[in-house]
Amino acid sequence: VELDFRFLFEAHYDEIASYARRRQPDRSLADDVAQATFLEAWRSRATYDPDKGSPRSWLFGIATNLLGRHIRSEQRRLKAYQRLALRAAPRPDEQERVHELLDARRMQQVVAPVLAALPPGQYEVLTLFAYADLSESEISQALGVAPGTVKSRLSRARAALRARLATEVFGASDG
Amino acid sequence: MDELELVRVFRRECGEPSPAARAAARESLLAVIEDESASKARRERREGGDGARRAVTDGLVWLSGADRALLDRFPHERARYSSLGALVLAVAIISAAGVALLAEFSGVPQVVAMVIALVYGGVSLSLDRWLCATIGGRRRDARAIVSAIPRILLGALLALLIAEPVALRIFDAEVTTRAAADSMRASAEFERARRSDYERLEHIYDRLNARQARLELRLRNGSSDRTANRRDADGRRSDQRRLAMVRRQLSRVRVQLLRVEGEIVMSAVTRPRERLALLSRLRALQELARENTTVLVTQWALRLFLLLLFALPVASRIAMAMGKPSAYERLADHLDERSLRAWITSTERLRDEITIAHQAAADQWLRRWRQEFLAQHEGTMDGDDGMAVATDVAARSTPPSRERAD
Repeated sequence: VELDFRFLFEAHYDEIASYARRRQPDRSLADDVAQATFLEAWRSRATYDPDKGSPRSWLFGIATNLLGRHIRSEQRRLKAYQRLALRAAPRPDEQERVHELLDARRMQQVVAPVLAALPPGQYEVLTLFAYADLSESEISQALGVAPGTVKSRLSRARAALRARLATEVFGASDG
Repeated sequence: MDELELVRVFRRECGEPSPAARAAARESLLAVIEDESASKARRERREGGDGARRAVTDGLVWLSGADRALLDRFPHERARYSSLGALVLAVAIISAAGVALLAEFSGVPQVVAMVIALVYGGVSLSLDRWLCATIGGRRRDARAIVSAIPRILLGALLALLIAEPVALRIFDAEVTTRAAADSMRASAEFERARRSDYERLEHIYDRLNARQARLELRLRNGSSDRTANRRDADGRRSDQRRLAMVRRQLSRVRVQLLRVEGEIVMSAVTRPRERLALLSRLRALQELARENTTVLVTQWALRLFLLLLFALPVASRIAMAMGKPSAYERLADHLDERSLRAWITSTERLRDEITIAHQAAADQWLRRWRQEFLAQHEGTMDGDDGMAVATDVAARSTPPSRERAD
């Protein structure tokens, strides 16, 4: 299958870069990953099999693999968010949006530790689902795992999040 | 807000990529694509050239007698066999050129010489190809060398034959000078001998002429003397006989004189234009070789060189076969062995089928014969005797398989 890489780039660069930035807080590293995704795809274009999925999910699979090399730094940064959220007070220019910011900080405090604690497999499935808007079947194509595995990882990740939310957010507000 | 929305909101702020990063990524991808396209174009151009080269090496591999389809599985061995093929071709061309030179040297018309050369080139090519194809594999022992002996002998013979005209070409000036000098000397000697013959014949002619004159005078005087007696008459008859004999001798000597004179004139006329004969040139070369060591060494070196050259493809193939068998040779051996085994199996099966068919035919014949025998003797023998005889005959004649069949 001949892939038109110019078209692929135009069609998918933004969402790949967006996904990389959401996952990798180091922006320059995220941009590098997005760039490297297309270069890696070009190099390994001979291995692309249209029967195993769309070019989009193939590109997300490559991006996920590249991001997987930096997953430790992602986890460290997620833990740092939690600490920051606990310590930081709103700056003077943020005073007007203080409630909103406080909500955001709170969310960081809730979400970051759950994401940091997730096993890499569940974390990747969850981020592809939440940040890249890939369907379960697309995630299975991208990661090269069975759809059932994707489903179970996603439900476990969501259950972990829900459990945390139940205690930290909804539980508190309910109470 | 469900938990997924929470995750999305959590990193919403940093979602959008920068245009600069986008442009940089686009540029790097396009650069890689362009570079690869350019190198692909270069490769295609090269492969276009490679196509022609491939055809040439295919031809050379064919000349080496190797199995091209089999050799394609071992690309690293192609070079060996294409080089061997090139050697076979080169030797065929050189042999053809040598034969053409030889034919031209022996005075054959040029067209005929070309035809002979082409035929010999083809023979050399086929012979070398056949030997290269058959030597090797399982045949890497002394038998391989034995099978190459006729080719080596042919090469040696041709080397000896071709070496002479080549040596003549190399030492053309020396040989021509030498042969011309020899020819001059020989022709001077010939002329001297002819002149001496001429003088001797002239002397004989003069003597015979004087004798003829004397006899004629005596006969003339005697015929005017009317008082001659009987005895004188006898002497006169004898003189007449002598005169006739002298005249005959004179005419013979005159013919000889004319012939010798003609030879002297011809030798003087033809000498300057005479083309040096092949034999005289060869003799001159031999004499030169005897007198000059350089000529002798060159002559033998030439013979040896041509001999080695003509035997080179076969010798190379033997050398190749004597080493450790290559992967290609092992596979070729294996396939040979397998096809031989398949042939033997099919032959054995055929033999078995023929044997079974013969036995079945014999059984059928015997059964029919026994029935006829019993039918014929039904009336003459009582049942038990007839059956006993038939069974006895059948038992002695029936093949064991029939008994098993029964």
